[in-house]
Amino acid sequence: MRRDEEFSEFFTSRFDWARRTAYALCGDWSEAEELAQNAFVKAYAKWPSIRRETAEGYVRTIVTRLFLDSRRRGRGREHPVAELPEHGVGGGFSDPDARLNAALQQVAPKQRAALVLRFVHDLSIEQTAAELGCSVGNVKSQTARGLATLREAYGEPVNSESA
Amino acid sequence: MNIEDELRGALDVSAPPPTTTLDVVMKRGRRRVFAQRAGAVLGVFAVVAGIGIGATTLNQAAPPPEQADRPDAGPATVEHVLDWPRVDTPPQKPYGTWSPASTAPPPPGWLSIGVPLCDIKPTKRPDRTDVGVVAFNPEAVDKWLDEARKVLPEVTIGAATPNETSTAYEADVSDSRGTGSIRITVGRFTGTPLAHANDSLWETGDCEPARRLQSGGSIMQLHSIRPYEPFQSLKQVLRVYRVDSSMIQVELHNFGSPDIGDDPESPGSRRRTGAGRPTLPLSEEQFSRLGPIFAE
Repeated sequence: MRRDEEFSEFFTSRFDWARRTAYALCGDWSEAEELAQNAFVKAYAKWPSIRRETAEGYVRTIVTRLFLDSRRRGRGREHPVAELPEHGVGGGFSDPDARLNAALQQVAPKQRAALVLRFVHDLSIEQTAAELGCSVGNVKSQTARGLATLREAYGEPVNSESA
Repeated sequence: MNIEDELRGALDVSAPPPTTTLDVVMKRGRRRVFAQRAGAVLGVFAVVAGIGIGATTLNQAAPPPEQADRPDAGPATVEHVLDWPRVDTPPQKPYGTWSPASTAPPPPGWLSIGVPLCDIKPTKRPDRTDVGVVAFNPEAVDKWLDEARKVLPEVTIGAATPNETSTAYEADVSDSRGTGSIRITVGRFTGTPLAHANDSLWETGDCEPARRLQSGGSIMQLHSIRPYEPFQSLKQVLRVYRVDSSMIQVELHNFGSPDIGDDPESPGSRRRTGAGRPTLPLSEEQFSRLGPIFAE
């Protein structure tokens, strides 16, 4: 079936990318796996109406919104910590970038989503606003606040570009 | 290095191997598609069922189909609005509700109309000198009926038949739903048309004040539909009090000449043999069109 072939190809090439995006947002590999899987399930259901060139953005939007939805429903799965863990979360897997990840988890969910879309995925302010479903001004303010929180959480002075 | 550069490398972290397989995603995806389609089908069923239930509920909540109690309903495709105002006076209090007598009930299938009954108030006149005592010539009747045919092209108005004394003329009025009739009588009154119309306001047993319209110096007064025996006979009266002190009364009936036959018990006389039609042959609006013909 053509649909399954195309989707299979897309899944193979982009699932790990989606999972890493989810991890940047939630900071937990188990939850990231769940977010990415749910996003691809939704994408499969809509696959006939998704253009191949926009499929990546479609999945990213779903991952981001699923993440924000989960945080709106409750922060039960999010556990900000004052001290950085010695080992990365997610089954004792050792994460050399745990410091950045831990700092990101100190940033509020929507600000974090804005930072991930703006800098991790290098989207424009307008594209970020479209994916988050909010205004350009809101993206600017969320990004500025998120960067300030991230710098503080990072614990050492760093240079900054403008938001 | 700035914080934004740090962020740009956030995806390039070492990660545990994924546990999600394509099979799992596609199975869940197919279940989701099935659920969406099932939901859409159920939604359509729910809407259809909702419309059906709503229609049934509204149908049951609506008043029963009206026939004889609303003879003015007329054909469903025609808008009937009679703009004659009612006489500005309080209505009468009903003393009961009309129901057909068991000895001469309406035919099967006719709805009982249950019209409220009110007292007939006596007039100030010493006797009924105004109705049906004046003989008038058939030429005048023919002229009136010619005019009536012009203003009521949707019904068929038959030839006028006088009674023995030529004080009343009857003509059949027919449409696709059957035959009724009109009966014309003429009388005289003293005083003004308005005073006589007021005096006769409750003479036909109305509960609601009659509808009234002035035309020149004449007054046209349309009374309510009244039921009577046998069967479920219906009558509506239109009276025109003219400036020349003549009063023309037009009665509208739900039966006509086909419903009158020889009386075997009294050779030479006639009696009602048929029930007629369930409704009057003219709506109030149609009936009111006859008023100006007699007012002139």
